[in-house]
Parts: sequence; C-alpha cells; structure tokens
Amino acid sequence: MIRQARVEASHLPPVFYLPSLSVAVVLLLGGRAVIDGSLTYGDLALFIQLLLQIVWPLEAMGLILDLGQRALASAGRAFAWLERIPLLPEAPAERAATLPPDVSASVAFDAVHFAYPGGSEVLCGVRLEVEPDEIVAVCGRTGSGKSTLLSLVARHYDPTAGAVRIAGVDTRALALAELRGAVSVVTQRPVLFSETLRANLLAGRPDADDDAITRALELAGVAEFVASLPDGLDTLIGERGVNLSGGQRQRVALARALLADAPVLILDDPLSAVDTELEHEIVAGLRGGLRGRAVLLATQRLSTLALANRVAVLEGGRVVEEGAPEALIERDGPFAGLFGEDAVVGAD
Amino acid sequence: MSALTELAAPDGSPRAPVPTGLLSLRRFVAQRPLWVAGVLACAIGEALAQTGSWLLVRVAINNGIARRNMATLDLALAAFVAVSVSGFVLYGIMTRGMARLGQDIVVGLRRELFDHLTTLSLRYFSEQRAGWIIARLTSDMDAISDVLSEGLPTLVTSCALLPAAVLALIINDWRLGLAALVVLPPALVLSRWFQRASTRAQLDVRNRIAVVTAHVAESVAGMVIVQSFRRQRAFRGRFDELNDANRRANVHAQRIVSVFFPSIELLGVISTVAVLAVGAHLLPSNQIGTIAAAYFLLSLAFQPLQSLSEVYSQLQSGQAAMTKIGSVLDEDVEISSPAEAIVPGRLNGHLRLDRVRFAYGDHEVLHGIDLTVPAGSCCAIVGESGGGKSTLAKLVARFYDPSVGAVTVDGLDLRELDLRAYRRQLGVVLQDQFLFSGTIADNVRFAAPEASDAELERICGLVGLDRVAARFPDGLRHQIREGGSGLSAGERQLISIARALLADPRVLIFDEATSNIDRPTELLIERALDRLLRGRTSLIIAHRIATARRADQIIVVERGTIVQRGTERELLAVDGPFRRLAAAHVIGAGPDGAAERRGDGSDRAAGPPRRPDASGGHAGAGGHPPARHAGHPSARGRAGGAAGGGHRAPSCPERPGPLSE
Repeated sequence: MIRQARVEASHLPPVFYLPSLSVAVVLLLGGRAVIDGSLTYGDLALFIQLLLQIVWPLEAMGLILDLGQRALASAGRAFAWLERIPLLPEAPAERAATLPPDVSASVAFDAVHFAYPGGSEVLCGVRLEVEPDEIVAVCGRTGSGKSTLLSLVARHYDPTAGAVRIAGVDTRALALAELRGAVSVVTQRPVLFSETLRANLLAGRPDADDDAITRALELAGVAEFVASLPDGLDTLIGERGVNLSGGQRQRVALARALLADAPVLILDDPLSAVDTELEHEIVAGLRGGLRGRAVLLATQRLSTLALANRVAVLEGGRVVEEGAPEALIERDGPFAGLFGEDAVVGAD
Repeated sequence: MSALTELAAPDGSPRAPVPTGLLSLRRFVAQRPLWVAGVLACAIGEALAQTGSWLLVRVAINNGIARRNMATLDLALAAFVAVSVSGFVLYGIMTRGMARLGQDIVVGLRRELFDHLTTLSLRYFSEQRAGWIIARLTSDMDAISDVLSEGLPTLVTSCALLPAAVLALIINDWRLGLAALVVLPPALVLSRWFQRASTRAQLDVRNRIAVVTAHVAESVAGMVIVQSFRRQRAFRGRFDELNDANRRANVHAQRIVSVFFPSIELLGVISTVAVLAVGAHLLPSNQIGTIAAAYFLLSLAFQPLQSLSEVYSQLQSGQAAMTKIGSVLDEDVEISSPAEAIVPGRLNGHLRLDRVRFAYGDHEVLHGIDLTVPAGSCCAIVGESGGGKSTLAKLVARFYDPSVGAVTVDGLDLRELDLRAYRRQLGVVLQDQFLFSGTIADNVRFAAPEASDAELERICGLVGLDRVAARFPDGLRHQIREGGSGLSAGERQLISIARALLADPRVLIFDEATSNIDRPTELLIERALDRLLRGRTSLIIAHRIATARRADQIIVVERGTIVQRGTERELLAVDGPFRRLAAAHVIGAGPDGAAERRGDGSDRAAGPPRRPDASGGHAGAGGHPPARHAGHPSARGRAGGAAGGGHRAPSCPERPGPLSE
C-alpha cells in the first residue's frame, strides 16, 4: 500500500506540473510573439487553454491503461479457472439409461478403484453389494476411505476403475437428475441453508405435505425440537436465523434425506454429534423408517452400527471382512480389533 | 469565510471536516505531532504554490507582455517555474508522509483491536458471531485503510487548495472573484445532494454485493447437498435474482454520478463566462493577465469541490467502519486481573466453588453450585448436554466470572489472582480443540513455547502422539491446516492432551470428546488421559462412564444444579440420575430395536464371564443390577485390556505427587 502510494506520489505530480511548466514555455515564447505582434492575446489564451485540456486525458490514460491491464489479468484468471474445472460427464438425455420403475433398488460396487487427483489410491478394488431392504454399515479407521466410498454412489466423484451400479445400471449411464433423485444423502458435516426449516426439509421432495415432514422429523428424533421453535417449521435457520447445534443439524439433515423417500440412502456418520441416549431412541425408530430401502451407512460408533444388518470393514482400500456384526465379533478379526471390548458388548 | 469552512466540511457541519467516528483516530495522529505538522505544512505550501503561480502568470502578462517588457516577462516566468517546482516537491513529500501516516494508523488500530479481542471475556464471543468479529478486522479495516491512503490525502489537499484558490481569486481582483463565486451557492447545494444520494446508493451497492457473496459462499460450502438434492436450478434462480438487484443498484449509483459531475462542469462554464464578461467590462486591456489568472484560478476552486464529493462516500463508509470497530474497542474487558493482583506461586490446586450462580444475559444456567475438589484429586462432571457442565468448567478456567458466589483455588478468589499467572498453571483440553495452522509440534508447543525438542518428543511419546504422527511422512513436523482438518477428532484431542501435558499445569480441565473417535485412537486417549491426570487437580466433563470411573468423586449436573454426588460405587448403589445415565449408555438396551435384533436381554447375562476381571473389581461390587452394569461397554476396564499392558486406572492414579514423570 505504501509502495502504491509512493508510486502515485512520484508519478502524478510530473503530470500535474507538466502543464504548469509548458505554460511557462508557451508564455515565454508566445509572450514574445505577442510583443512582436505576430500573435494575438486570444491566440495565446486559446493555446494555453488547449494545453491544459490535454492534461486530463494524459492523466486519465495512464490510470485507465492500468485499470484495463488489471481487468484483463483478472478476466484471464477467471476464464482459465472456468476452463480447468472438469465437468462431470453426463450421459446425453436421449441415450441415458433409466432405472426400473419399482421403488426398490440395489447398490453394487464392482471392483471399484478410486484415487483423488494427484493422490495415491484410496480404494483399490472394493466389491460390495447392498440389497433393497438391507442396511450395510461400512467401518474402518479414520482415513480408510469410508466417506470416499459413499460419495461415489451419488456420483460426487466417479471411480477411476470399476463401476458403481444402482439396480444393475452403471451410475455413469444414468442422467444425473435421475441418479440423484434415486439417492438421498446425509453428509458427515450436515449442510443446511439459510432459509426456513421447511425449505431445507423439502429440498429432496418439494411436494411433501406437513404430515410427511412431521413423520420424517419424528424418525430423525428432531420433531420435539422443531415443535419447540417459536415459528416451528417456518423458523429461519442459519446465519440470520436460529443457530442449531451440531446434533440438531445432523438430525434435520437426516430428516431431509428420509423425506426425500429415495430408494437408496447414504448415511455418512449421521448421528456422530447426537447424545448417546437420544441416539439409541433414534436408531430404534429408524430401522422401521428405513424399511424397503438400500442403505449404506458409515460410522465409528457401535451404537449407530446397531442399525446394520451387515457390516463391511474397509482397510487398505479393500473390504477385508464382511458379515453380520454378531458373527464378526466372534471371529476376532479386523472388526473386533476396531471396536475392542465394545464389540463383545455389542454381541450381547 | 464561513462558506469556505462549510465547503471544507463535506458533511456540511462547519467544524467537523471528518465525520466523528473517524475522529477517534485522532489519538494516533496526536502521537506524531511533528509528522502531522510537517505534512500539513507541505499541503498548505503546495496549495499556495499552485495558486500563487497563476498570480505570477498575471504579472508575466500584465507587466511583461502588455508592457512589452521582456526582462519582467523572463523574471516572472522564472519565478513561476521556481514556484511550480517547489510545489511539486512539497506535493511529493506530502503524499509520502501521508502514506506512512495512514499505514501506521492502520497497523496501530489493527493491533489495538486484536489485543483488545484477546482480552475480552468469552461471553462476548459466545454472543457475537465469529464472522462479525472477523469483518471488523478485515473489511472494516480495509475501509479505514482506503480512507487513510486515498481519501485523506485528497481531503487534505482539497481543503488546502480551495481556500487558497478563493483567496488568490480575491487578491487577483475582488470584483472578478465575486463574479466567479456567484455559482458557489448552487454548487454547494448540488454537492450536498450528491453526497447524500451517492452515500445511500453506495451503501445499497455494498449490501447487495454482500448478499451475492454470501449466497455464493453458502452454495459452495453446501455443494454436495445442492447437487444431491438437485437444487441447482433453484439456487441459480436465486443467484440471478440477487445478481440482478446488484446490477440495478450499480446502475442507480452511476446515474447519480452522471448527473452530478457534468452539472458541476456546467457551473464552471457559467462561472467562466461571468468572469470573462465582468473582466471585459471592468478591466482595461492592459490588465488582460488579471482575467487570465482569474480564469485559471477558477478551475482550481472547482477541482477540490469535485474531489471532495468523490471521497465523501469513502469517508462515509470509513466512518461506518470506524463506528463498528469502535463498538468492539468500547466493549468492556470483563475478565481482567485486578489492579493489585495476587501472583500465586506454585498452586496446590485446592478448588472450591462456593454457592456459584451464573447467567448468560438474563438466563441463569447455574443455580448455586457448591463443590470442593481437594488438591490433586479428580472430579468428574456428568449429566445431559445443556445442563451446565461446560459452563461450570469455564468458570474454573475463569473464562467467565460467576454472577453470584466465588470460585477459589487454594483459598484465593480467582478474581483476586493475576489472570496470566493463574492461566499459566491451568490446562484446558476441549472437546474439539482448535488447532492452528503449523506443524503438529508447533501445536503441542503452543502453551509452552520454550520447551526443548527432546522434551517435546518425550511428551509426544508418552501420549502416543508419535504413533499418530508416524502416519505422515514428516512425522511431528507434519503441517496441519487451520482447524486441523485432515486429522480425526481423536487425533486432534491427542494433540491437545500433549499440549496440556507439556505445559505441566496444576489444575486441569478436560472435556471429553463425544464423537467420531475410532477405537484404537480412543484407547490412546484413555492412556494419555491417565498420564495427564496424575498429580494434578482435575475437572473432567465425562461422556462415558469409563472416563468418569477415573474420578475420585463424580457429580451429576442437571439443569444448573448438582443433583447427585459421590463415588461411582456410591452412585451406582442408589437408584438415581447417575444410574439412569449409566444405563442409557448400554448398547442394545435402547427401548426395543437393537435388543430385539440381537436376541433378547437374557443374552446379556453372558457378558461378564467373557470378561475375566474387570477394572479393579468395580463391576461386581455394590448393589446395582449386574445385568445393566455388565452390559455397559466400558464396564470392562477398556484402558486395561485393549491398550495392551497399559496401566489400569480405575481412578486418578498417584496423587498428589510431584510432576516428575
């Protein structure tokens, strides 16, 4: 900033004073000409006036050139950025596959490999299937690729090799809108927007009525809280409205996903910030609410795991163990290692 | 001259050239009287040089050209050049000085604001959103910086130039001067209108673009959900709407500009015509230089008028920014050391809360807490969230002061202690401790910057952080991003445990993390916690009974009061809130589902036998229902078994001992 000011300080005055000095020259020469009689006062005045009028364009030109250069540089960056963004290739509408019309769908990971750009492989050949009306939990240590695996289903990323199939159809063959209509997501960090609670909830199914909303809220264990809000469903949340706690946000996000009523549900540690006591209540109610859907669940908590019919343990980018939780505990394999003595309790 | 001072004051109030909020910057100016005097002298000198030079032109024309006197012409022009050049030099000095001064003020103000923020009570931060506070340090400071680096120089030069030009006009010829100034009243009215309209318009523009930015920020942050729920179209629609409103606001602002500046030009032309007409009638032909000088001086009088109008909206936003910054600076430092603070020596750490009440605003959250934690012992606080557990802990850390009652350590009221000296002996491990960008080692060293590398590594080894760090190629020198993304919650908590251990506090506050911790990391944390508790007075906010078990006493806090207290055994022996809490944690004991799927409750009885010897025989003891307790995940002394030979710590070990580990 100081430098900029200094540059201005040393550049502007010459432009400022150039006219003054040239006025001196004009007066000196022109004055003599007037004394000689070869020039009139009028000519002299006109000359000086025109001289002064040159000043502003001179001053402005530098400024405008500078501004123009900056604008060009910014525009260049903006356009370069736009060009670099890879678009998610979408099957053209006329050739897009469609999902079977019935409400249930399975999810299958077929030898799925995935690496983030520039990173090493996170998933190396994951095979996993989730049948309709089945809840499969994915476990594993932090960084084992649980969230990554889940994010492939709704095509937040595409696998680098292998395929993800929904009801037997490769997700890449589906129109994005169709795919995302079929898959409902609860992210690890719940995202709610600064609008009313109702608008947030209706995101996945704009035509849902209040009864459906209430049912979803009840399943997610947040109905009571919403009822306690002064404006109920019309409460504005977020920055300019009511601030929800982490657990409340998670439960609202869960309700939103449940309301969408999609055949496939992706739950990425959906209750991590919820009190244990409340979690048990939700888990107990949720199983009925999830009936008929293919649910893929990632969690670190044994208590959330109670939802699952089947558990898959991810390690080193592969499914190293799979089966009913009770069976896995007996086996004393990776799953038992993950949950320590908790696992023993889980088998009770 | 009152018209002049009025002109100099863009907001129209005669003696306030700068709006009042910005006047609070005076103290920075007052610290540098010589600088300021020098800069002002340069500004005045430059204004005099600029206007004076045109009076020399008058001499050159009237006495030189008109009288055909070459010598006078040469002399006058030489003087003209000399005066112009000195004006040029003065201008250069002034702008440089002004830039220095402006940036000094910005740096000083920013430092003052930041210093003040670090001393404010947490109450302020809980009531004020982080974004709001950050905006004071960034966008508001930018607005002030703009005013100081662009607005202020223009203001000073214009304020100097305008009176100088008017003065020179009068000296030149008072009749011509009066003719020239005929347009001044309408020019003033016009300027006033412009200042008001343009301030409003600029404000509107800023607000609209802020809304656009906020919308973009929210969409970017929530892109997963926007895409998942196919809300792109709705979001784009809203974006278009906001963008269009922003466009309209900009066009409106430009329209105001496009009316004002040509109008001022027009007034300038009228004024010129008046000067020429009056001059032609009144002055003899040999005084033509006087007319020329008046003509040129006139433009010098109009130029500041336009410049001042241009900087007016900038001053206004600077003013608004300063008012908001001022509101932060005026915020009372609630928590501070008293004038004659007691600087405690090494504390024993005997903690006492004496009938402590506390309210956030009008909302009382603690209603009379009495608690004694003997030196070196460990007290666990359990209870449902929102019951006041963290508030209680924060009072001990003196992040807040109680509204009634007192918190004492070794019999000394915290409010009488030197805050820094107390906090130096206080360790706080929060549920999700904030990590700063820097290496893991930097973050561990945060509370004890002078610790040696060897000491650091020893501590990291003790808590098992070296194992976590081994996951990264750079080990402990792994750069973590701000907030610690890339590390799991458990790993973040390990880092903050190491941080606390390295600082070697006498009193420790530990808020157990609730979520998202994988089992192996959890075991590391449990072991590290045992290390950390040894030989210190500690207050643990426990979410798991295994953690509470470490304590010498457990208090159950519900709705702002202690509803139950005692040892684990005592508490489990009676049917009360603790037992209810303990039972709620039992896996599979939820109302129905889990138990139903895993077989019935009878299975649970099979639990205990599979677990030979629990933690210090707690399990079987007491009259509590064995089935319930046995079903609890942590009833099996997690720390002992799974940590593979780690010491078992049913309660706070080895106390009160020296911190020589």
